[in-house]
Amino acid sequence: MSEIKNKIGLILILLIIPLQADDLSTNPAKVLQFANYLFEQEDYLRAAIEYERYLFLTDQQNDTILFKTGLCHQFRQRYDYAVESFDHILDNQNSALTQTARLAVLYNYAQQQNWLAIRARGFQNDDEFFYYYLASLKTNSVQSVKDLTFNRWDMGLFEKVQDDSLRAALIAIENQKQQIKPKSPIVASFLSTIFPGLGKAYIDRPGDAIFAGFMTSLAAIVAWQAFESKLLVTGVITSGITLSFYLGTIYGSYIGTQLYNESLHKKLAEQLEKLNPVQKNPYWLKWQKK
Amino acid sequence: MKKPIFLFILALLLLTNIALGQGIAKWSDYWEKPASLISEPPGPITYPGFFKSSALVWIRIYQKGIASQDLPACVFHPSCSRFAFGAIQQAGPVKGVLLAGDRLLRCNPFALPYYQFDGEKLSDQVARYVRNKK
Repeated sequence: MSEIKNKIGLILILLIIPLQADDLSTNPAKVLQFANYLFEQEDYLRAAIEYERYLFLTDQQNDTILFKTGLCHQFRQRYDYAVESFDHILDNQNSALTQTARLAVLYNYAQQQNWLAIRARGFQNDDEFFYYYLASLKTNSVQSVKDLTFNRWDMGLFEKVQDDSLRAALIAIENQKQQIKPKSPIVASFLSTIFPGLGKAYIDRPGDAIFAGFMTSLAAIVAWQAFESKLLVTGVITSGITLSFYLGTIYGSYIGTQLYNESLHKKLAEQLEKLNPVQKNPYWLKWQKK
Repeated sequence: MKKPIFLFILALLLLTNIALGQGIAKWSDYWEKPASLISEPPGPITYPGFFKSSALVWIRIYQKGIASQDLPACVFHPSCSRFAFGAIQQAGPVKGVLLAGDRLLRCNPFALPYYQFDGEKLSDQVARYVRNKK
């Protein structure tokens, strides 16, 4: 009799265990509880998976959970997934989180350095204007001189900034930007073609210019002397070195000029970073405290 | 008689270049990084091509056979040979050799004001010069 009882008990235990496990993975309330626990523990990858499971189980638009999913992806530096999550919040026109989600999208795009996407989004308030202007500065820094003349910043846009101090600071930065005179990579390459190192002098690097001119000339003289002395192998090797120095200086002047132009804009971007609204007041802090 | 032997040695050298080049292109990342930073397996074997593999092999031979006999003289981090290796790997043999040539000329005593000093050397990464177009 006792054997039968034991068997029945065992069967009941076996039936109950799967039910409990099933309840944990399909009960939305418990999934959410577990996801929140993981979020608090800063296990953001697993938290994101559990939040997405919760959204799947409830099959409803839940902006708070979508926002937390986006934060999970942002904290683990998957900015593309974060943008996707925050974008879903924007589908709901009446959401209380719309403004924060828009800012979150812009912040994540900035982390990705996707400046064209930021410009395409436009702006609705001062915080968003900051990102719009930053994107304009960053895209200008990598454009050629010819593009810049067709893509001047519209000063009238500053009138849309509500905060006076922010407007004044941005105008000051824009005025500095207007004074920047970018140098042409093609001119630099051309100068290096005429004589190795001249392109480096053009981008204010006299030391590099002297060294490049001296070394390329030296290599060329050695190659010529080797051919004169009928040292074929030495001549071929030194000619190769001369050629790589000469062409390398031309290409290096081209790339160096682009980097030089970017460095001019980089100083402005560093000034601009001090005005970053998210830097001053991170939108995710209140979520972390919870 | 000498000509066939010379051709045989040349062919052998070329084949060794390609074979070593493939291995280097695949595993060089593993040599440079500490194990804790490696997140993905190396993936399938890629065929970098003759010129690329040859250049990589000769740079590796220089690093292991010649540069290792001297004190580290390069003012930059990564060193010029590592920079050349990375540039050829990422930008291909033509642009890579040009970038390497330019880097050798930038490696001079006047370089200090233009680069970030990381406490020991001047920082000048390949990524600054080779950009992946999105």
